[in-house]
Amino acid sequence: MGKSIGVGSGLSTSKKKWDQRQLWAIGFCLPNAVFFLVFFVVPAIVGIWYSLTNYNGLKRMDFVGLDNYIRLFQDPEFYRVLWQTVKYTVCSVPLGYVVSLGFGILLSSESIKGISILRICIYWPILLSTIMVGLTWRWIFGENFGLINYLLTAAGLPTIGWASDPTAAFITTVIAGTWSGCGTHMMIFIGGLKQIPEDLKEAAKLDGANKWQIFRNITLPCLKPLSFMVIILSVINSFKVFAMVQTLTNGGPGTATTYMIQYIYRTGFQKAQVGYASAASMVLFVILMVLSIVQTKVSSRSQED
Amino acid sequence: MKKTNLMIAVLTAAAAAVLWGCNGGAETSTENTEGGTSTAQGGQETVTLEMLLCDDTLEGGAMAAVVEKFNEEFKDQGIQVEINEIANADMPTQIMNRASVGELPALVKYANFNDYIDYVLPLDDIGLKQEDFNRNCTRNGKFMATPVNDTAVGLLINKTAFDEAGVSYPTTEEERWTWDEFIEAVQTVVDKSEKVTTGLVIDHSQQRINTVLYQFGMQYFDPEDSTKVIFRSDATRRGLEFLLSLYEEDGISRASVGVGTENAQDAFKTGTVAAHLAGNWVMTDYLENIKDFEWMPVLMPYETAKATCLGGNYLYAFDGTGVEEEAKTFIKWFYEPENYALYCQEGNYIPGKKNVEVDYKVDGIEIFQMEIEASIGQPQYDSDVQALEHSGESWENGLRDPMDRAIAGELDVEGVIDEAINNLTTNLTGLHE
Repeated sequence: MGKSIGVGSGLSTSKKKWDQRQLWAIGFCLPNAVFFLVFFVVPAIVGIWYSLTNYNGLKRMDFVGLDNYIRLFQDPEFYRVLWQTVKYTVCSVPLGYVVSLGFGILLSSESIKGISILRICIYWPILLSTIMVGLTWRWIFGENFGLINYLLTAAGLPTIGWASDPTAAFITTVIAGTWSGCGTHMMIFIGGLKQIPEDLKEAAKLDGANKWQIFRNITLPCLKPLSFMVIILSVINSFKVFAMVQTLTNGGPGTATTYMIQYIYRTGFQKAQVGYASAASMVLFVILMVLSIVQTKVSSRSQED
Repeated sequence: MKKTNLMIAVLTAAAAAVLWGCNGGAETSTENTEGGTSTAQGGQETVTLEMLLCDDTLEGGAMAAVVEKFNEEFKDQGIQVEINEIANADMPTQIMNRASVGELPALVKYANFNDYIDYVLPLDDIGLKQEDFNRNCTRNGKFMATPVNDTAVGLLINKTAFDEAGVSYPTTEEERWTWDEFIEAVQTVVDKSEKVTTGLVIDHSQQRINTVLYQFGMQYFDPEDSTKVIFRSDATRRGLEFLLSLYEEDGISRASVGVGTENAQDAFKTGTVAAHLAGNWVMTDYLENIKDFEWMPVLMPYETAKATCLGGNYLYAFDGTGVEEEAKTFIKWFYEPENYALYCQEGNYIPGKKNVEVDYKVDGIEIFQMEIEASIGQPQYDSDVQALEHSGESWENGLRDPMDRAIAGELDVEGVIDEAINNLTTNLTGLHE
């Protein structure tokens, strides 16, 4: 019943002449809409067109239909890179979530002295460009000149092949990615933690709940919407990780830390196969869209429960 | 109603302002062309040509010195050159993006012009001829680019460490090492030196890998049939096995340098490396930045053949920039003997042009010239096949990438050969095994 009234009123409104308030609303939305159209919709359409051509970034651009997609789905390198990106996401997203939530809880109390400075320290990597993050960690994880291997050598321990061992290189990307991303998520969690009513926690305490039970049964459920947002943003960001890895490991050793965006960049610009790279971009776009829809559905279902 | 009209007017004006802003606003005294700018100064039009290049500062600033001389000589003739130096890895991206929006620079110094051949300005009418240069830059009968400097692959050693260890090194053909003798020599240096920990570093470069493989007898293309790929051979296998053995746990090199995560040039400069397989252009950097030990170029080892790979940069102009004539004027002036000799001297470059006398600031260039003279012809043949028969196509790092994966343990020798041949035949048309 409610729905039919809504639809009916909507139709009747559309027949009326737009009033002044609606025009103001459209006026305020217009810059954003124009920006979105020019910088997102149009490039996306151009990208779809490129993916159907053999465009080499210069003059050659012949329509090749779905050839790029067929080649892509038959390319073992594409699957290898996709699998590496999934591995990176599976490792870095939970780690990032736990670390940022942990810092959020630790730094949410205003009674700690120097709390603002501590928060700034954790948030500070966000202010750096991702290229600086990569370079910083490159010096820390440098195989022959790095800080960690220097300390290991000084302690008489064997050094680690951060740059030449695929597993070690993978770990460096996960650590650097987590370090650079946890500041923003920590601030989101601090905001969320402050919104949790103290009465709930006090009531639980009076009922004999310990700290872990309060965290599990009050804090975590109250943070569910924020957790969902943090996880979905982290998944999208980890699928799109590029500049940090480019400067930290350059996708190596071999292709051990080559993730999707770097694969697209190399294919498009270094191998001059822009059409093929655009097809890979479209596939990545579909993957991220499906992931976002699934996560949204799961989140809304769990909130209904 | 009036208010609604007023609001529409305000919004329209705002949108117009934004669009006008995007357009870059009005030009007053300066007119932008694609490859440079024209400025009116006291009635005299001055055209400023943009020259896009990379690594000039790293190699001693030779082009900057020559451009300064040009700008001084041409300040009253209405042509000036402005250098735009960017990272080497960004050159393809920059050229491709600027080509797609019609904003190519007037002049470029870069190691590749074949990929952009559709945009390059022919230079047949400026008095320079193909016969004057070492490398072939004629495509479809037109002289397209000038080989501004040649680069040969060679070997540089930490002379101090070799001398302290009492190990001799070859500077004449008779003394040249085999690869086994070389490994023995650098192993002795590493064992006897307190500072040197690594025997050899090789640049993360396909040209360097090719050089070693050619020394083992590798060939890309059949000399009788340039469409036939003969990379899959016992010689290639032996060469690849040798190269990969350098990066094993007991090898004389560092895997981190082999896969390119650490830079060979930087590693050599620390004094912890006995030898560096590099291009001759590193000498300018070493001359300026190595102060705590002596270094020198020596002859490279060999296995079945003596070989080096020639590379280097090209100076060329782009067509359709609106300043083509001024760009040609610069190139013509650049190759006048005095100016070109200054360029080679400042950068310690091997001239790409024949019969140029250069008074070098550093000793040892003659070692690289000896390498060029002693080299077999296969590297140049393979290079010519790719440049002349596959112009505009590229298999960029098609061997280096699988080598990286092999050093990281992802591929074996057969895997490297399979992937390299696949990259070659996929990216260059008309080839078969």
